Amino acid sequence: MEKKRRRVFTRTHWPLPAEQPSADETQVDNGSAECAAPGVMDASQVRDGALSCQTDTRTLAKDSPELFILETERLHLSTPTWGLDSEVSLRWQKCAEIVPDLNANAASSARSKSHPEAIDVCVSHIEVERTERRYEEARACIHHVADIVAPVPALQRRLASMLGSSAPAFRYASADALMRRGLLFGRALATKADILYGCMASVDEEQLLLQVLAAFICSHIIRAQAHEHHHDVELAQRANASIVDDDWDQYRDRGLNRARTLLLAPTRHVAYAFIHAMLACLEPRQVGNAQRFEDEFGPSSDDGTVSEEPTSLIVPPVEPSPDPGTDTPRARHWRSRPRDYRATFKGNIDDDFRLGIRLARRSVHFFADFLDSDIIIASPLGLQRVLDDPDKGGPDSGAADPLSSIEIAAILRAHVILMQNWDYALQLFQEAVNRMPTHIPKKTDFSRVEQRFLDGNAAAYRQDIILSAFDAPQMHAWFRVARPDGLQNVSGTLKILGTRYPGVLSDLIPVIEHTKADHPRVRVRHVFRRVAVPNVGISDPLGQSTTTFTSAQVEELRFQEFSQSWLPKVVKSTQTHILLCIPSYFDFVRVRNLFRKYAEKSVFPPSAIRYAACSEYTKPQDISRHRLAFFEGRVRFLLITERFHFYRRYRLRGARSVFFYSVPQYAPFYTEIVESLEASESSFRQAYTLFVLPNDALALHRIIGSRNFSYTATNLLRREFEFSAVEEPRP
Amino acid sequence: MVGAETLEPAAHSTPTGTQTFASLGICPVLCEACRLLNYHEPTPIQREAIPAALAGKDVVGLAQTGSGKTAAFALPILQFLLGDPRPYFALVLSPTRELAFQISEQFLALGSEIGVRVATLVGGMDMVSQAVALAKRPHVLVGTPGRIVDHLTATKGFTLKHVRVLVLDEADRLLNMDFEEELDQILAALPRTETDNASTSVRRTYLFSATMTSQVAKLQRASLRPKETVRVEVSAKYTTVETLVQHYLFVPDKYKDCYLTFLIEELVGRHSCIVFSDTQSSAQRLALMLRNLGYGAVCIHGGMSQPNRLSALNQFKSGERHILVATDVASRGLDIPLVDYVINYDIPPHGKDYIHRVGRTARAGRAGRALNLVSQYDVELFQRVEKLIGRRLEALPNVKQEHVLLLLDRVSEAARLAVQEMREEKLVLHAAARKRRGAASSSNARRRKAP
Repeated sequence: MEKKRRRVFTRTHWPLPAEQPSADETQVDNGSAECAAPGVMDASQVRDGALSCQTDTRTLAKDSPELFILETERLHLSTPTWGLDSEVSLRWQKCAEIVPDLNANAASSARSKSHPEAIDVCVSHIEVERTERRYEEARACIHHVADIVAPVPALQRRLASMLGSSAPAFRYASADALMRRGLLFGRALATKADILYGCMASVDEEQLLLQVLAAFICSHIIRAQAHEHHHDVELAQRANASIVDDDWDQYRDRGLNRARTLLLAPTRHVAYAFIHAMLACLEPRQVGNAQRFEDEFGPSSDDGTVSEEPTSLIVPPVEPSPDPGTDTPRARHWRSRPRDYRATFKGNIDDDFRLGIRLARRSVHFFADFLDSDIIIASPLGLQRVLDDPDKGGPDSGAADPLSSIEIAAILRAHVILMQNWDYALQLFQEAVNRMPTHIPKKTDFSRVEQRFLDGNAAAYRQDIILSAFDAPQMHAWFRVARPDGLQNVSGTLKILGTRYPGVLSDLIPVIEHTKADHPRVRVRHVFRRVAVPNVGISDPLGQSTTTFTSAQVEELRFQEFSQSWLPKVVKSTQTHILLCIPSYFDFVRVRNLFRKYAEKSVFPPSAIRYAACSEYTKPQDISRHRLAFFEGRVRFLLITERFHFYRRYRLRGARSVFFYSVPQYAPFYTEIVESLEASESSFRQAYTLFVLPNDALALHRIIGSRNFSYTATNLLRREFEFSAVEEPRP
Repeated sequence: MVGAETLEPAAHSTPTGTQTFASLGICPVLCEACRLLNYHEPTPIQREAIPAALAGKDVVGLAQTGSGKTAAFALPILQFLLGDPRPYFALVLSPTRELAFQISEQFLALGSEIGVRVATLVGGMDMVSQAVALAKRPHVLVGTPGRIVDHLTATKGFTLKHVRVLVLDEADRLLNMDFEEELDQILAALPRTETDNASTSVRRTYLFSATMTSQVAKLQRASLRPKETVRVEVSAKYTTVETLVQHYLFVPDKYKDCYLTFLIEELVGRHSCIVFSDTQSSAQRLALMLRNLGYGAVCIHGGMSQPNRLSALNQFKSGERHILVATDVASRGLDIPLVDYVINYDIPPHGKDYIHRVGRTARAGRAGRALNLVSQYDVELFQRVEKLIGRRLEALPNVKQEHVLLLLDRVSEAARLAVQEMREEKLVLHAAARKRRGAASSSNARRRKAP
């Protein structure tokens, strides 16, 4: 252990933290060595446990006085790893650490229901051995979140006090549990590996992570600046030092351009939250353009949307007591929206912005020129628009030059960016970030540019951080495809993910208005149909074999299943009021064209195939026309996309059955859309979902829950699964 | 330059009587590098210049075209580097970009064994990648004066303070008026020789050319150290090599194109050939015309973009096209091993240029032919050339005007088409430029309208 510590400190120049072998490490060591600790099970037993989800690890974790339980052989499903051209495969990964869930208690008490499974968090293992070693090193020397900024003592002090004092403000999770997650995140940051944090449950947690991230970024910049300054002084003292000296390489300390950090945020409000976290850490004496920043990024004063703080990003939350102070119609309307909607659309929701921030010793300057900024924070759209600006002459104009030397890139609220335009963000990173500049930077001393920037390997040393409420396949693929020339982070990838979900099927609010009094319970059939993909399955749990199907081919199979099997059957049946939810807009267009073709060619009788389509691009008046037609039964099908629901959140009244073309990424959307089913006396309500296993595994897992999912994923002979959530009659 | 590359095998089978590189003081590693490049024995200029350079003198080297001048300064520089491998050791200036590339290739070829790093700084190429190359601490900088001055002003952290050897290749061209301003700036950025004389770090200067200016004032601008300078001349002033057969052909200006085609048809055939003309547009026109007549012709002139220039040159070097129509941008230094003919479509206004032009052929001991088309307007110029090289040329025998004029219809049609193509290209370019300007102004207007 001593050896490990030394290695860490020579690498990062951190001061030694309070030195005592902490209890959790001893625990861990004992556990792995003797297999005697309560949290560690025999390997085969654990594997079975994970599959059948007879999980007692959570209770064990709770019993254990220490933070982490090291489970050496625990395998878990649910992380499809995507290849370069989105080749799909399902792989099993080891988990290193389990942090007990923080919302489980609160959520279950609020719902007066206890979920047998908890949402665990795990650090999923990393292909690069170095990452593992570094993580162990970080674990050995970071015992408090604030330790990650230990090289800058002032920052450390402020971060520690801030986290200490704000603890009572966390309303819906115990501060203790939150701190464990923060610590996990902090240690992950210290490894310099790419990080996917895919389990932000609440606004509180996001706030904490932003705080940690802001402190980390500030300390990175401050340290780098101090380093440069130190070298400047040293060179000034050495009279004839120059680039021809043999020891010159030690003075290489900067990038081709000044900016070291790039943050992507979906809306101005998120950027605002991050910057406030940063200011709280820095406590600068001077803030340049502060008023303009408040005006352009802060919430407007008459905005009803901020009257109350939503706490949940995505997980169905605990309902807070209503705030009596803001009982205006607007505030009432706002409060009627789902909580994750309120979290997303709070404050200034402009999604076209970019901001350069310059840091100096005790001052911060907003709206700095990009070439003069240390931090660039922008929305993907806003940045893309600068790069594509025809006035500046397109891609060779040097608009991307400031992004040439990014060392830390973070994507905040990636789950919202997923609903905006993920491809913009990806394209931006592939084409503009860490590229050689097209013009010679005027202020950079070329003789002191670090070797990795000269060699064009900067992207391999960049740390990408994705903060998201859930993990999507695109986010997993990010670390393999976001760098040019097939480079990957030399420090590997670390993913912090939820491993077990309760599912959302039982979150349905029972709507029983139209049923007879003697039928106090309403049953919804949730049918999930697997699209058969040859050779894809869990036949090889250890992931030795991968399939050769690309995701495009898999999507093709899904479309075949839909157009040849499901659609003709439904059209010929007597069902009406069919709500057809097609999460991806591309699939939506494809299906709509299919409907259009059928209508034009009169394949089916016109009344049987009559449809209306609402996407995020449909005009409001058209939407209301379509909704009315659907409610009145003048159209048989209503086609919607996931993004349409994300932006509008309409209750689509009149639906008698719901069909999901693929599984929606936002698990609550499944519930919200299914809730639009009206009970009818003749037939029970049904939600029918097509899924393809590797592609939809993550989303499906979140919707049906771990117990059902492990059953679904392992049962390769069955293709149709039905789960029902039966509301017990209330006493 | 390629020096002994193409010497007859017989020449190196009897090395005992002649000098070797080793006997000139070149160390074994570099001798091995020379052997790998098939340089078996030093050429006269190398024999004279290398010992002088190794002794720390300034060298003014004057030798015929194609006699291995590049290796004559590259080898001593590499040997110095071997003893004291310091970055930014040597700066080599060349008047043209192509020559600069060729020199750096030569350095890399000779120095690959010892791991020499070379940065090539020429115009028309990406500044940033050159700046990056500079930051990687190259040992040798090769470049054209204009771009080096650009880097001195634009690239922070780039300095010439540590240069120990300055080489001016094609020195007379670099020292004349065209490069005066740039050269002054570069010399100002270099360490001064006078003050450093006492110290160990003396800046040495090598001047190489086939023709040399005699004006002492000009040479002093290159800050040679008069006492330390060795003048190496291996040939009488301004001569062309013995293996070169030169002829002229007196032609009416009206039928120049026709005669050119005739010569290419009758004499050149499938051999490789460089046609020199005086202006860019005439070079372009001739290349298009020859292409219309079905010959593989490419053209190279200073008005083309650098990548185009390089690709044209490479096409010619690789034998893909066998006719190169060029302006004087290709007249100096370029080493293309197999040029059989040089045709002067226009007689050069400066006699020295003639020597450099015909120096593209008959290199390194091989045979070559030069043909000059002399029209009624060129007589005086041609006589000047004859005076400079000190001999009278003979007329090309067996050319009858009635034979030549049989081609007239085809040639004048091809020439007409060529002119038309050039006009169209120009129109397209203008339209594109107009469009760009229009788009920029209209989007500006749009932006102004926005709130």
